[in-house]
Amino acid sequence: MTAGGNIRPECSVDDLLAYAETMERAAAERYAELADVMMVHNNREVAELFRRMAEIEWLHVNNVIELSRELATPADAVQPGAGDRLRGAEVPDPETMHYLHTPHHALKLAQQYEQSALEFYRQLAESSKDRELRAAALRLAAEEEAHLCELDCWLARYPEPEPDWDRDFDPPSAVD
Amino acid sequence: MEGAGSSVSIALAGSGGAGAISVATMLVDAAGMAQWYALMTRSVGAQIRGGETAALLRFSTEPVAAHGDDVQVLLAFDWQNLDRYAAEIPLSVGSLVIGDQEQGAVPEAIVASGARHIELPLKQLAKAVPGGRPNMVGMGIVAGLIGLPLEPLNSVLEKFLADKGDKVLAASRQAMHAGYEAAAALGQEYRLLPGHRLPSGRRWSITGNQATGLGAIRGGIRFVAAYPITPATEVLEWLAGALPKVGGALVQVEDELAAINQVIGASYGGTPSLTATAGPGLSLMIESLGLAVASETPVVVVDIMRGGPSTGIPAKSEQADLNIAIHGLHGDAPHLVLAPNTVADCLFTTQWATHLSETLQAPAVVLSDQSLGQTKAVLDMPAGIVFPTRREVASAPAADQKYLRYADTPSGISPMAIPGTRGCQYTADGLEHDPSGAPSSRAEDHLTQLNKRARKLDTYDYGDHWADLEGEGDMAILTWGSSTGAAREAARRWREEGGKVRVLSIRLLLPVQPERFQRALAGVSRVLVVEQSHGAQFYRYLRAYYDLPQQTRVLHQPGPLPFRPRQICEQLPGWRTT
Amino acid sequence: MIRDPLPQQHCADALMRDPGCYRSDVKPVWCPGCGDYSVLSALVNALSALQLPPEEVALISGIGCSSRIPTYLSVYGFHGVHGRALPLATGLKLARPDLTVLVAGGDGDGFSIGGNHFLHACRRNVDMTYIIMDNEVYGMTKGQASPTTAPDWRGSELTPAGTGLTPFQPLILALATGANFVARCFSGDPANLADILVEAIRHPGFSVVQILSPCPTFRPEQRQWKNQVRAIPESAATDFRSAARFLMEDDGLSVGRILYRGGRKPFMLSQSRHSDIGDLEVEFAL
Repeated sequence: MTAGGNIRPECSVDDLLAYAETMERAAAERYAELADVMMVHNNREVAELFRRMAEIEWLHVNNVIELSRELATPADAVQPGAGDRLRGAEVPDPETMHYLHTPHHALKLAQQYEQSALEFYRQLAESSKDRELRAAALRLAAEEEAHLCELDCWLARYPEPEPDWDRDFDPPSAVD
Repeated sequence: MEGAGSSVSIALAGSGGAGAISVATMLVDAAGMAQWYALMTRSVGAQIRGGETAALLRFSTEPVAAHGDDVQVLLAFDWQNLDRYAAEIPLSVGSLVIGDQEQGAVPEAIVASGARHIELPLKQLAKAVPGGRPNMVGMGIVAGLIGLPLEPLNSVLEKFLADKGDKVLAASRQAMHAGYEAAAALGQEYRLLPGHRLPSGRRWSITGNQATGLGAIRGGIRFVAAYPITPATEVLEWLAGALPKVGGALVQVEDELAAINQVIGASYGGTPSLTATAGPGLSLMIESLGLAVASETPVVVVDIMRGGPSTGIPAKSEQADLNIAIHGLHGDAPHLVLAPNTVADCLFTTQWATHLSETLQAPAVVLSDQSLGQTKAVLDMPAGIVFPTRREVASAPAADQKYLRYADTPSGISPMAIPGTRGCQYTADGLEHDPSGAPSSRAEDHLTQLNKRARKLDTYDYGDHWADLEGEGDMAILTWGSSTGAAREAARRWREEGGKVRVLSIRLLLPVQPERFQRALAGVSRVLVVEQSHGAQFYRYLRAYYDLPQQTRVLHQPGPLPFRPRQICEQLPGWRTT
Repeated sequence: MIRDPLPQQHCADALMRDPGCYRSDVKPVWCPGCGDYSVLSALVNALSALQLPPEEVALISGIGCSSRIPTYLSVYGFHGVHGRALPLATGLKLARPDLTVLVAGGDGDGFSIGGNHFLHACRRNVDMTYIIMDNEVYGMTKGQASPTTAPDWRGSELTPAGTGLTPFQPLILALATGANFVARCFSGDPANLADILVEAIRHPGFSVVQILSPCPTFRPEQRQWKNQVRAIPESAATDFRSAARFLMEDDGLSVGRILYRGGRKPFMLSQSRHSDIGDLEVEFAL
């Protein structure tokens, strides 16, 4: 599994921005999905948090669109492949979820993916020889960093839960 | 005993290889060409090859739907194990048994009947013709006995032996002639009167299983999934050849579970679909019939009933799958159950079942049986009936509307979207669902859908086809399916003696029609129920759903013995006095 | 709240169908952490990559956690009875060859109660894609051993000493019985899964895609799959023999590649209308 899909240091700025937009969109959709997952399992608190996260990701989408406009990027520079939308460093993996997760877990999860996105853009900036690409990657990295800071503040409000946070006194239900 | 002039019953017997069945088949077709009516059933042993075989034939100047009381002539090519099914060949003192002395002594069971016995050298007569066979001699004997002209016999022979070459044809013809001449010495007693002349092509020779297949195609069936099972296989085999010619297709599948699910899948795709099976196969299909009910997918399942339970008596008839067809489904699962009552009616009932299933988006079970299915009959060309309505399908909804597959409509029928229709995508579901099809375990959704599925079947107007009613009077025979033929013949005799009796043969077994039933039996105070099941399944079904008069009797017997009209007549005199 | 700028209306006639176009508004009941969420994501991305009109796709399933998937897509769906998804789909595809037919389900539905259909679907080679979400357990009945469960797994009260049975090897059987496309994937790599699903759907004939999809509730140890899976080596996927040999020796945790792609012609029924019903009746007339 390689985060970033087809994005390499040799890519054009257009490619990078198109990728970034797609990934922010994918992340927004994923957070909305995770919010639904938690709502279905009656974990409202975490669901709300993910919903908020989805909103923030949509803001990021707008920011990237703005950036593209600034840099005069044509829309749809690269057609993404089937799996490309799922390769984003910032798209959280739903398999890490638990129905009894607390906001602390949810924020940690978000943090993990923002961090990996930050690293991805930073590395790209470091390894690229193209000045424009480096500048764009650094802008995107800065976006992620700002989001990370926000998450840090947020996380401070939700201390680590007790070690038995996943204890359920009821057995699972038989459904079908 | 019946009048020999208008009807005659003949049995041909011999171990496999003797050719009794092919001779009987040719005689039926030739009789039809000679302006008579005929029917032929067969009784076979468990062996795939070489087993004891009997063909029971009845020729008549009038349309005929059942066997008579007795076999008037038994012609045996040999006596191999004939005693095993002597019970299926009712002989009496007036019967004639023709045997070949070369084949040894007549079995005790045959002698015990008191029938007259004569010897004819079938084998020798055949040997006198180079390449001649005893069964052809036998065919000539039967033809001579009943006065069947040579001309149709010759043309039937030509058709049957078309690919065997001129030599074989000539030898067969000669051997047949030898038999024909030998019959002249046996007297005129079994000759039939001339039949009513009909234009060429107006008489058909068809088996019930073929008629079922044709009814399916007339009803619009264009996809069939098939798993072989006796005695339903011929339905499937006939459809395999016929469907591709009319733009349909049949596929052989791995088991009955696959068969029912493939037809549900094909029907979901918009193609009217059917499968045919027998009791064991129906048992396997039942769970998925429930799926067809819940998902409101039309499918037709034809059950050619045979002796049960379990593997039972696979090649012989019984009317004992009524219970499973009516009650087999778990949950409250309204569906259609229909039963043809003659060979010709296999066509109509299957066609109607398809029409109802498609219209009502519900599965239909058609209960035919071995006796109807494997009977080959000469009959008047069945009338073509065209049912105008078709499955109600959905078209793309308006922009501001959401398609609801299971919308709670007044009729209970909701337009069904066929995959490919834009904007109507839905998931058909065996889980209880809300009107959109989304799974729901809410009490309200369950009740709504239960009501809807029941209402669409209960409020539909089935018209007069629900049952066949004949006769008048305060006495009625209540029957269904293949028992109807004998019941009708018994009633006819009763009327000939000046009695009055109604016969009500129920074609639509589910949903039940209590109001129509009441009208049909208005003024009836005595009922005789006739059915071929050990457990009196039909009687119990009637008791559950219909009001029967206090004076109700049941004549029920298990398979494989069919009812003889006499058995039913014997029940009637008692009624005159009560 | 800022919403997706590509609302549903676009999906019907859009030049570009977003993955979201293939999702319905019904929310999954799967446990948080279930691999099936990723399979759903991968599938809608694959459909979007193929740009198939949702009304021309049908997704058929049986019973089980993963079999709930049709409801979560905006394509035509059928959620049938336990074990019978393949024949239902086969009937649909044979009657409607114009549709793209997908079949989805779990290991219990496909290999236990539906095992016979699996073998014969591979043999018949109808052009469909079978997506198996394998979590080695019956989830919807509270965690019993399935045909792919290890013999010594003692997590179920129904088999407290383990099943003691050799696990079912679906891909070996798929190859042996004639499947035309065989792949194994991991739900934890949905990007790779989406790519392979695209290939599977495009490939003519019966395509089998086995997906290791962890059950966090009854098999929490499967959360470790992401650390245990490895890529199927390229050498395993050169031809039928290499694939068969590889599978015979593999522990089931090698993922991420198409193992076999055959060229067998898909099974179809010929439906060429050339006579009237009246022509059929001639054979009965005397």
